[in-house]
Amino acid sequence: MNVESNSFIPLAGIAIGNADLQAAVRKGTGNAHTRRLAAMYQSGTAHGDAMRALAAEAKRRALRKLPELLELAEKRLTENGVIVLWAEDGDEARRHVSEIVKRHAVSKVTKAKSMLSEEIALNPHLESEGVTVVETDLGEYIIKINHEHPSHIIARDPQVQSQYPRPVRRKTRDAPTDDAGGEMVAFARKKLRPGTCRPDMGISGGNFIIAETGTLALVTNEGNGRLCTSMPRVHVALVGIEKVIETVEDYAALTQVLPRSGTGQLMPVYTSMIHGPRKSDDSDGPEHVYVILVDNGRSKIYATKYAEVLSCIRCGACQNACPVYRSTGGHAYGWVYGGPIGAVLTPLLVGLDNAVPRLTHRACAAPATGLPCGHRPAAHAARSAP
Amino acid sequence: MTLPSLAKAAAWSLGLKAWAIGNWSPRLFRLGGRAAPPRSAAVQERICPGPLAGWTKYRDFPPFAPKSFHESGQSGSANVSSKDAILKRLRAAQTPFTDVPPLSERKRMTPLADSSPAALRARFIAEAEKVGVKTWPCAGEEAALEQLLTLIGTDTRVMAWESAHIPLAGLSRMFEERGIERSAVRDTDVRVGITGADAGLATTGSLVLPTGAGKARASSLLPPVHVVVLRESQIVADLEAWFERQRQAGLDTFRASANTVVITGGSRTADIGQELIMGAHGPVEVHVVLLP
Repeated sequence: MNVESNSFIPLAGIAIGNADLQAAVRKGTGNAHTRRLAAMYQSGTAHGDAMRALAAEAKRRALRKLPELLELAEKRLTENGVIVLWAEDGDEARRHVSEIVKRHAVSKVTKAKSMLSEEIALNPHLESEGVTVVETDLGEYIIKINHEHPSHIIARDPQVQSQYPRPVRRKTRDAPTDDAGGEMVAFARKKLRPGTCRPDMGISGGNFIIAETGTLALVTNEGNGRLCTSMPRVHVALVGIEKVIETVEDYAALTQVLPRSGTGQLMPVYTSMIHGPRKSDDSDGPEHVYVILVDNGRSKIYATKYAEVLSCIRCGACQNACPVYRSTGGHAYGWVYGGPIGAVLTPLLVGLDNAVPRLTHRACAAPATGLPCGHRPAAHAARSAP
Repeated sequence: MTLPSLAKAAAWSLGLKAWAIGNWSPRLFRLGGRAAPPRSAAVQERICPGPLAGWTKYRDFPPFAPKSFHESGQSGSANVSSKDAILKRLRAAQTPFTDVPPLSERKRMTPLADSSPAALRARFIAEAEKVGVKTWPCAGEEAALEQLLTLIGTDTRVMAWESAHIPLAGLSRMFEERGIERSAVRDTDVRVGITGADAGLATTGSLVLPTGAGKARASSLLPPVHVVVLRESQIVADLEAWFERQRQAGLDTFRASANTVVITGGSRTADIGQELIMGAHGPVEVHVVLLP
């Protein structure tokens, strides 16, 4: 994906002028904050705060021991029958995927939403090698057909509006004729069923890797994560090296804080805890599971004073709270990650030359009110921007 | 240049060429090794020109690499160095968050003031309803079988776990009596999936489903209606409480299941126009048949 973060101001201008987009963003982020607080404190303020503190502590403790935990995770994953590969950058990660594609003679891939795969531009790479890529997240499914990129880091994508399915319909013959989202979902559901769509390989991201048990944890609401990781022969997970955590108890706290903060749900609809390929007596599941641990600039961030940004669990709450994001949407940020977290991550991952202008997020304190892991992306954005 | 020195130069040049040819392929290399003169250094030096004199000395070169240098530069051995390079960079950095308390000081907070079985059951039912899961409390096995039949309706095929993993004794007999078949896991036309569960989580209305022999993942994923048979004694407070139990068992049971899923409500999406639509890829309806 091209980096166009320098063009934030013109892109933002276009976004602000787009009435449909404005309505969609407002609808998507409108009551997110209220929903978030209600979910976070459902068992009382003390419990909610304790859980958030545990989650923050879990990520920080994991980062403190990151090198050891990465080695432990590799050991345990390997014991579980997972093949672990390491990638220094996007190029190497793409090469690993290509090699797996060749090794297992893969012609069709289904993908669950993964921002890391966007970061390393995996879709165009696979397509250039003649592999059919099918996005299974419904928002992404439509975005992919329209050749666009996602603008929000969790499932809820404000830029996919109900009028978006139209181009899909033009390109796909038996698509529904109704404007209602329900029809579109039923259509996509049918198209992406294992009976209709027979993928050889599923690609997913990973929300966490639990080091002590070698568990790959994946969170989705639609069930597409389960579809991608259970039905094809091969499952490949692209995971950033900062996703490793220490214990199952850490995971319990984090996996509850993530949806409460992101969408206001108490738990994601599906949290899959994957321990490797199917056992010999299992009736279904993939035969091969790969985990690609991707650095792509993260170890460099680890050495800077911005290491805190690696404790971000990508809940998307900062985007929902950010007045800038709520006016411009995610695409104005010009790269994979939008909103306050994007304003911090983009310059760190692709260089300072690509920073969103500093005034944009410097004065803002909105997202600081109770992010799950005690982050202050706005404060970092102010420091890291030129 | 004297004649002997010329002859020596020619011998070296000839020997180098032969040596190079010997290195073309593993087969030639082995052949050269075998064809080389006996291991007497004195004889070799007398008979063989130039570098060939020492051939047998160097016969114990490391074996040929399975990949050429070019290939290994693209993957394989490069991977090991990627790992090393990443870990080296991380270790070289100043350790962040040194103020974080160690794991031993971790304190968990229970979400429930009352954790009696009755309170857990009531909370589970309330939270499950909130996420759209229908609970059917049944007085006994007979009532549970009746309820299950109502949910199956007139269908003759269901995608069910093996009866041993569903805590309802009369299930197999009922299937036989009513002529209900178990479908294959790849069957996408089946409407109802029936499973057991490892636990119910009270504060979130969630269900924990492991996988293993006779416990297919597809049963809780592909059919639009998912029915879970759960015993009240299986309900625990929350995910942490469930993990506490796993830890007491040494986490081995947890690791032995290739894919454990925590299910909270029916599959949903709000990706299109921000309306919440139920039934994206997973089941539209989730029912829990709750037994004492």
